[in-house]
Amino acid sequence: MKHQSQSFRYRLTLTFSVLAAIILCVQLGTFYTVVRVSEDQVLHKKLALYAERARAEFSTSQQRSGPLQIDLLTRAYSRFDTLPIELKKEITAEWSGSQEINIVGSDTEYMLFAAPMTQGSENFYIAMDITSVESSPLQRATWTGSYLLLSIALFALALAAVYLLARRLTSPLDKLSQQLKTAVADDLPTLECDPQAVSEIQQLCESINCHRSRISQLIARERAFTRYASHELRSPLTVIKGVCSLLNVSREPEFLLRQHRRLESACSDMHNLIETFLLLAREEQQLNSSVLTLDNTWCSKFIEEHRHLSRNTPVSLELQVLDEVTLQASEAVVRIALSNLLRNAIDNTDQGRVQLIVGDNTLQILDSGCGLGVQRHNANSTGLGLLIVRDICAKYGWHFTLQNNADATGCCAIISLPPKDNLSKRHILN
Amino acid sequence: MRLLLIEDHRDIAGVIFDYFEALNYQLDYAADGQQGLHLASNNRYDIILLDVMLPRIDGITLCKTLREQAVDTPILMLTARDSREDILQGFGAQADDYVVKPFDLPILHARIEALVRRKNPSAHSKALNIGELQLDLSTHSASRAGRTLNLTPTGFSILSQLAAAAPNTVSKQDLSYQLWGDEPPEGDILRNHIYQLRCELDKPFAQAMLLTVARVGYRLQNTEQAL
Repeated sequence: MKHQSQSFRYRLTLTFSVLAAIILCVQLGTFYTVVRVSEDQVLHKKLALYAERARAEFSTSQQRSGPLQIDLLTRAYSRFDTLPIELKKEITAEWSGSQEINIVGSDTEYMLFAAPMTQGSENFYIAMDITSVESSPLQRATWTGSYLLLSIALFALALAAVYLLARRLTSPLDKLSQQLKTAVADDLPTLECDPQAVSEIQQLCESINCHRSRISQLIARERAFTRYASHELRSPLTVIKGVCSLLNVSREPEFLLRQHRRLESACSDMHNLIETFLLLAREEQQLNSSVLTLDNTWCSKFIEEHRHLSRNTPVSLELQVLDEVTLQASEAVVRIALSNLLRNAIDNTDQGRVQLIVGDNTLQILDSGCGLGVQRHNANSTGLGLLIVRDICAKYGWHFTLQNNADATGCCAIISLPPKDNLSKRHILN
Repeated sequence: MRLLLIEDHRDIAGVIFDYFEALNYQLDYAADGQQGLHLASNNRYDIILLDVMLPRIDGITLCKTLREQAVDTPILMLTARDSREDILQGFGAQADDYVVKPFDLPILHARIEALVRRKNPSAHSKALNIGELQLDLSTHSASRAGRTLNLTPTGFSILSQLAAAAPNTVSKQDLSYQLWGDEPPEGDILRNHIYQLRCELDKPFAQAMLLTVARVGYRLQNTEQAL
């Protein structure tokens, strides 16, 4: 079952709204309580002050039996039996302290204070009629309602502010999302981030763009690789298909021998290509552990196989083997890499020479052509061959460089192999 | 049929050579764009088979260059590049057809025949009529104004080439190549054949059909239109 996730904007708005509601409720309760408590506290303090005065008065005239009028609303009583009947009903003679008393059956309210005259003696009382001093239930309902309305207005304001803030915060994310949704498949343009967006979202946008750029490069590379594979595999397939047609044309032994040789050559080309592609797709640990030694015999054969590329051109193909070079790679892979470099060199050399120099743990293809960065007639050259060479070198841990020659004519492609001791160790490990 | 193949893959070129030589095509070969441009600029071909990814000068550039040089020979591109953009690029360079590798040789042959036929429809018809001159290519017979011409095989071949190209001029080199390929006989044998042809074609008539274009070659004139 698919989980229906909530939007960031919804969650943000909900969280802040609940928080604002709680704050307002707490504040409303606190306000109400503080007002009521402070009102009572004032009365208690006032009664405490009146108690001192009453104690003094009752001490000087002990025979006094009537109430002492302290102010318009307050009276003091020297004994329990002098209290009005309605108050006597609410308390006992032993009770002391201060308390708000509502007279049952009337709207009258009293604040009553009781304390002993002296230690262990009878209590005296102070009763204040607070009916007209304290706020009525209607008054309380009115100001509580007003405060509640104000709170609701503040809450609505806070809610609107939170919603707008959430929208402002999430708007750049929405735009990013929209750009991603409307993008055509395989097309990974740079996403535009709102300049007003917060720095975190701008960082996110930069990171996504960086990631998309890497994916884009990988897709381009993958396409180039597929293009190369398609191109290189189509040539031997054309030969094979052509030979199939030619087998119906003639049965002469010489003719058939020629077709046989072509079939072998096409199969060998396909084998080398497929083996190279498979090796490039494998993990490094699965690389072929075969060892190939490039000596004079191997190199001469390789050069002769490619001599037709420079035939009828003023370009000579030369070989220089300084010493043997041993590679930990299959022959197919080495052939593909060197063949691509040799073809590129011949293609970019109008006259002069192309040299294969083997030795000192390096393989060099040196040409006297136009050099790097020069626009050639061959505008359709895609550099796919070099792409494969770079892939092969990266896979096998060889260092590949392509640089102009020091004498400013032509360029040099160099494959530098790891030191021999490293090679041996790798070989042993594998 | 004279065909120029510009293809850097040795075995693909070999396969095409073997197939079309068996069909009596005359083939020239270039392994790179530079050689191909040289051959295509300096010789006349019925069709050019052109690979796209070539050393030195790529096929697209080569095709454009040939068209700029007013070489109107049909060009059929042979390539391993099969994307929509590649095909459009090929036709954009004014190629006449685009065949993706791997191709079927009989189909390639059919496409070549179609292209050549489209370029020169009369070269493939069985009968040619130029005014009062009529040629039947299937019976190798010719007549002018109802009079049968008694022609040698070489004479008939020259007349049919001139008739196929009429009213355009056919160069001496092209006539010579069509008759003897790369190895023309010593001496001015072509002129002797032209003389014999004139004796049969024009001598009995008041107006000559076979005209010499100075320093270029020969052409056939429609005498009915000339009147």
